[in-house]
Amino acid sequence: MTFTEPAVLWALPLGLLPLLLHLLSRRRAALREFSDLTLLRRVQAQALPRARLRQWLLAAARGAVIGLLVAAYAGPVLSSPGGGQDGAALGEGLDLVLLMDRSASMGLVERGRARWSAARDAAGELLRSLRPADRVACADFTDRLEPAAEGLGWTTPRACLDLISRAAPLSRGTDYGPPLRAAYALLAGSARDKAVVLLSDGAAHGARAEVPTPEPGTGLYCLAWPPPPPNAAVLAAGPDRAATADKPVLRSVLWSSARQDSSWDLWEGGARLGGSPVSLAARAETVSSLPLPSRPQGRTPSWSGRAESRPDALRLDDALFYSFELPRRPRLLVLYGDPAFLRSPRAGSFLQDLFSGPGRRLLDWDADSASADRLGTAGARLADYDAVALADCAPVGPAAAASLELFVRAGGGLWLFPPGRGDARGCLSLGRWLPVSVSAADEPETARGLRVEAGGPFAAWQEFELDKVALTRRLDLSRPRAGRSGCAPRREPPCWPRPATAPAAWPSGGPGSTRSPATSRSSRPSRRWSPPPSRCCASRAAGRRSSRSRRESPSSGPGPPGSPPRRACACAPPRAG
Amino acid sequence: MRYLDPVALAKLRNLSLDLRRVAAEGHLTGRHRSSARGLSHEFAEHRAYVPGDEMKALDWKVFARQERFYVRQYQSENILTGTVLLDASGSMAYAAGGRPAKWETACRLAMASAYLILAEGDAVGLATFDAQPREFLTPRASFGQLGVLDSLLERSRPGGETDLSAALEGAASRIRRRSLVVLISDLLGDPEAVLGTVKALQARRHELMVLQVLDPAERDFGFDGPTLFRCLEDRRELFCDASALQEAYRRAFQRQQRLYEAGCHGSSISFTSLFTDRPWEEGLARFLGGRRT
Repeated sequence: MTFTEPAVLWALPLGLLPLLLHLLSRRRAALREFSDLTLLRRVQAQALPRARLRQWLLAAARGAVIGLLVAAYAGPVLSSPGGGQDGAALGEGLDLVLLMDRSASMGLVERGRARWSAARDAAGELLRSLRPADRVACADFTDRLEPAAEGLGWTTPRACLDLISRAAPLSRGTDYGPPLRAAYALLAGSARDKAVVLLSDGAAHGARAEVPTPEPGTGLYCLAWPPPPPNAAVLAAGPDRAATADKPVLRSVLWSSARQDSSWDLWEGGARLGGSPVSLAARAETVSSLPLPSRPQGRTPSWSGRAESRPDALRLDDALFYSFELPRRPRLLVLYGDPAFLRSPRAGSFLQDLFSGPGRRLLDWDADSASADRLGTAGARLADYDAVALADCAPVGPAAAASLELFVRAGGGLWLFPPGRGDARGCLSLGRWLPVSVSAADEPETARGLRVEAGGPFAAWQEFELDKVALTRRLDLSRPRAGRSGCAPRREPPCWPRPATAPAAWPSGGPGSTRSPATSRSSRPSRRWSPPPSRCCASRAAGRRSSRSRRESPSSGPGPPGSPPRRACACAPPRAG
Repeated sequence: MRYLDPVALAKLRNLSLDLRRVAAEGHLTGRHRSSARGLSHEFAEHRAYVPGDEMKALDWKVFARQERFYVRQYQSENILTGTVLLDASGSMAYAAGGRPAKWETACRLAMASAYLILAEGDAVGLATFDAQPREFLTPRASFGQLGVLDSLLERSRPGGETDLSAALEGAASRIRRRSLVVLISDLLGDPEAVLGTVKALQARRHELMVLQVLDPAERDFGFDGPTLFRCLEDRRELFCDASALQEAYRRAFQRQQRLYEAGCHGSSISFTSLFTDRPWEEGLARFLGGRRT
């Protein structure tokens, strides 16, 4: 037997409390005078053995009750033969993998009961029907598999019940690929009966990974649901592209599973600013706009509130909060492949501070982070951004690469940050349409650091402790051969704002090569770091963009005040981890 | 008087001791029939004439009917000597629940018994005891004896242990004539020994009345939880779980009471139990009324 909360077992000595109280009771017994104790002594002498036995039994029973209560709170788990042991030694039985869908659609309420609740009850019945020889593994998933780090493993029905009872639907999409793949991997090699039970509503919103087919001999079971009622959702809410500080307009993107007439309202604080009826098409986005109240002159005007559609069976997606300023700041989407990259203080966190730190920021941009596999979902809609940064240059799938190409060709900016470890193969998949080719990394034997000159335009970088940056690798970029696609601008824009003086330089006198961190093969190595001369696609100008500007390539030189500067393409970030 | 106030006297006026079987051997003339034959106003029986009988004792009416000589014999009235044996051991000081102490009720019963005996024209005395006889008041047939009794009782305080057998033996040794003995005690001790002594007293041809005075707590044992009991007589302590022993104690007490009742009834000893939660005169009236029927 094991316990889910073994620390509670430290309270077991409380079972001795009744005995202690019994022993102490004599001290605190009430003193009473009685006329004659002859009869009482005779009675006690006759009843004493039985009374003592009863007292000891009572004390023991009370102690046992306390001990059992403590043990119950500790969460005992009877280790069944199937829990976590090698199935080969178990003989006949069932290997069951239970996958719980926690996507937003599972919060749909039908006949007064959420789908999640029905799925949880079904899972509970299934788990309670297992026999001791059966094995079970469970996990929940949305657009990713949880737990992703530890992987899927055999556990006990009680642990599964605890996991299911604690979970609840999240505001995420659905991707069946990773959980099914993990389930089949776990069941591979098992010679017993195998089954995968998918407790999901089958909503295919955002599924990107290929759904693997089950192996022969593995049963895949799903739940049957009645046809859901029509559901409308607010996918996006933000400033209209034509919105200005004088005429603010909120643009809302709605979606519906079926054709229906609905409405949506605009709320700010607790006040309703307005509403608009809208006719929603089936399984298509519908855009609607509402004017926002203007702000008085002064600091940068800002708006925040929520766009809320008419409540329906699924409430999770009926409201979306917005917060923006006008003129709006450019938005950057940082895509990462490995979640660990984002958490690394020298990698993802560094980038977040650069672009959207709470204090002083290098760029006055709004930066969002998302996993690369979510590219194209509601949480990572490229159309809402001005530039995309591939943070660790993880391998990008064909669909994502195609999305990026469309984005870039439409004028969006693309930044590449090679990973701290490994090579830059992830960038290779983009080479078809990038203006440069990314070669393998070059790692000098001795790491070099950056020296930031005082008073230079990059003095603001000092708070990011660039002097502690260790440049240990560089990527060679080569200009593609003629004829290759690429967003070749008509005019060569500067990649960085031209500084008055030279920016950061390599440490002089350092051992080894003094090659710059990111230079093309054609450039001569110099002791001073200078922006790479390779061409790149300029990012979209922030704010005003017309369809005409979407077709033209951006002009050279700095843009209008408030617009983002033109950006370079690739530079080596500090080493991750 | 402390233990016999006018209210109590008023209640006692309707009561009387009806001693049917007591054949007093007093030397004074009282209201009780003596076992001896003597001159009195009450006819007893006829006896055949033998030479030497007085002529005035002949019953001429019988001679006229039967032409035989018979002598009339009359009952001789003597004074009964009553002795109140009062238990003054420590257990008599017990009081619980705001009720009067058993000693208080016992003293009132002793005074009431003494009054009733004196009202019959008999003599009454008092003997107190605990483990040994304490004080003894010689029986007198004067109502002034009540004051003496009251003063003695007022001075006495219950205390010490109880040895009913020894005390009764000592008291019995001082009662020479056949008397009415009113034993007032809680009889908390060895029932067999007490009954043996009481029966021994009766074997000496004394008329016995046993008035057992108890507190309801001694009957009900309504105590709860772990309790340390301290005896009022020997100051010894006893720890027990009163809740656990409650039922057993009650059963043992009832058994003891039945033993006393059966033992006294079998020996024609008048016995009653009086509890301090009821007025003592009610119990006494009920007891005396029951004796009459």
